[in-house]
Amino acid sequence: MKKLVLFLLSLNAFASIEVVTTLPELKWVVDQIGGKEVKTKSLLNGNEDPHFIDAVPSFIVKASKADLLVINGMELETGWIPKVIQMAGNPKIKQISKGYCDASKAVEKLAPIENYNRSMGDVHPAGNPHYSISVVQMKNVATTVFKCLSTINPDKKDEFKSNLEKTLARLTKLHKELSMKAKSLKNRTFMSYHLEFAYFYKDFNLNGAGTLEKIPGVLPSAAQLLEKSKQAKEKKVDLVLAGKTNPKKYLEKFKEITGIGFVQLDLHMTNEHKDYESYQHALFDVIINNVNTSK
Amino acid sequence: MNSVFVLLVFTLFIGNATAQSNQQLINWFAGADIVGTANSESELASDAIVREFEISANSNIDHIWEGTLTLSKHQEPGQTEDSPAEVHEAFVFSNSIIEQGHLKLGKFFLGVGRINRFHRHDWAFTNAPYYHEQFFGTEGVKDTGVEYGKLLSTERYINLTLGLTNGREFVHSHEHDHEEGEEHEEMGNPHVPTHYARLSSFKEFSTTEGFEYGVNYIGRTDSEGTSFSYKGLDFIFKNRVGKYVDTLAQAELWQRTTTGEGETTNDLGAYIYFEKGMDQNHSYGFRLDYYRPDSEEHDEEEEEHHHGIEVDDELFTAGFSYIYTNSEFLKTRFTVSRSEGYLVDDKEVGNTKASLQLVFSIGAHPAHLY
Repeated sequence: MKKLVLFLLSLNAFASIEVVTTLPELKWVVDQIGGKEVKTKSLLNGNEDPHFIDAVPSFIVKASKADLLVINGMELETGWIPKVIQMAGNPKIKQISKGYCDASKAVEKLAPIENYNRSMGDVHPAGNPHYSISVVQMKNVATTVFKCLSTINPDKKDEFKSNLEKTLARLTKLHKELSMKAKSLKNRTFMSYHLEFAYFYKDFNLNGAGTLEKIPGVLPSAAQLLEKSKQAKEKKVDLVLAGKTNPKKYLEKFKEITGIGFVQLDLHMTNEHKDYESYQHALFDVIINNVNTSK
Repeated sequence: MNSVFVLLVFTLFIGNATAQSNQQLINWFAGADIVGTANSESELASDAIVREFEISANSNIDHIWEGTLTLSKHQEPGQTEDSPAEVHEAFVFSNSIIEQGHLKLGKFFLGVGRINRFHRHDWAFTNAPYYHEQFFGTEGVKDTGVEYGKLLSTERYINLTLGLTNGREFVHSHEHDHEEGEEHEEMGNPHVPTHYARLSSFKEFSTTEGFEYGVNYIGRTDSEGTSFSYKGLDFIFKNRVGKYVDTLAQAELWQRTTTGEGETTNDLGAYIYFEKGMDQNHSYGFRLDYYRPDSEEHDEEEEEHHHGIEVDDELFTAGFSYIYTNSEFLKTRFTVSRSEGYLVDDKEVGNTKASLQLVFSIGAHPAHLY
């Protein structure tokens, strides 16, 4: 009997926290903080537009087995994650449970909107949710993830704390490295298709000259593209930044009107990136290469 | 009286929606479905109507249950009398009682098939296939009872839905030849209440591309001892690109077996629908329908009930749609279809139908199922 109890206890000691994240970069943070105590799966692989995802049944299966669900929050996944949670029938990850972790909790939110309606397009009242591209904000995410993991397994809090410090140090180092790279972009001006680069500009004091979309989430009309092209010329925009899921046809049309080049980037980590550092460096390298050859 | 009631509820909704939504207490939703239809066959109604107006409220009731209340007002083409506003759904839902499962109690659309599980304004097309109208009504089967859903503990997605409802209400239609409040196939106590099951699974090709399929059964014996059983298959394939669905393929195949007075008949119906998105505004759809009634006597009664027109041995329909999606909340759909196999004055005739649908919603629509 004693052996059985010891065996069961030993099993418990090796039991890891099953974590499901919505975005791959959130998975990276959880893996850094949780270390060997976590088994993490990301629902998305980084090639999607996380605004517009279906509550895919395979997501429901993954969520049904999770001890902890980490979401981007700020209404980014509002069209699908509530249904995934509802259909998973997993009490651990319900919004009122300790296994529900909103990674945006400590993020310094840009552009929250107090009074909004649908005529404003696809806006997020809680603020711009595209913070995971920001090295600075990912430090805040790491702190939130540390708190969530510590709540799930308080016995491992010290280990998580130690991992948090290492992760923060890595992100600080990354920010310094990228700031050096960003020096070559200081006198450049960027436009983006959607609002996905606001945190990126802020991190490195880059010049952002607005978006091609007049209304977020709404395809720009020909007249709006012309209006934007005038603005782009006035502000001497060097390059248009876009995500890979943004419509290429409109970027090409804008280039045809203005002669300003565009680049479609990974807005999230994908399988091609082994860690957040390699993702960020790749992002910068592509921008630098394109800004030098865009006109 | 009913119109006054709807107006009153709507006024209350407008008055309270903002404050309550801001406090995230209640999610309010309202939607309308406006349809203009023209038929080449004069026996079929041509009309332009607000086909459906619906308001819905959804919220957590407490830490265990959430509730959904939906009030709806319908009209079908050719219907001249004002139909009453009705309780479309009134149910409580919990995913806290059964691990990896849920429980639904109250009045709701039965969780079987593909289109029966969705409100009509969320369908990929304007009208139900003919067989669906015959088997399940113009929208779908709703009834009062209990539904249990369980996600099986496997790596693969396998979901089992079981339901039992009182069986007094089955075909959900809003035809003019019914008395006010009557919308049932029959009103007596059924010998065997409606019972149903759906077993479904899913194959993921990528996070944006997958194939869901289900096997369905519905059974019921009415107050006169006639038993009905429905066996069906449903399929859906979706590939999403950014904000729009690039490819959609959806199909259902159903057989209805009716046994009564020593006779058994089998009616068959199916449709297959393809939709190709060009970008987030424009898409095109194509649907093929098939219906083969087995029981002439029974079908004549139902066909008259639904269309005032009979079907010969088989009915084939092919339809093409163009869909303009202004936004997630407003769509316009133009459809032209041709049907062959109607029977008018003992003569087989065809019908060409054109319809223009405008469907829109305001408020907080709950997240959709796959």
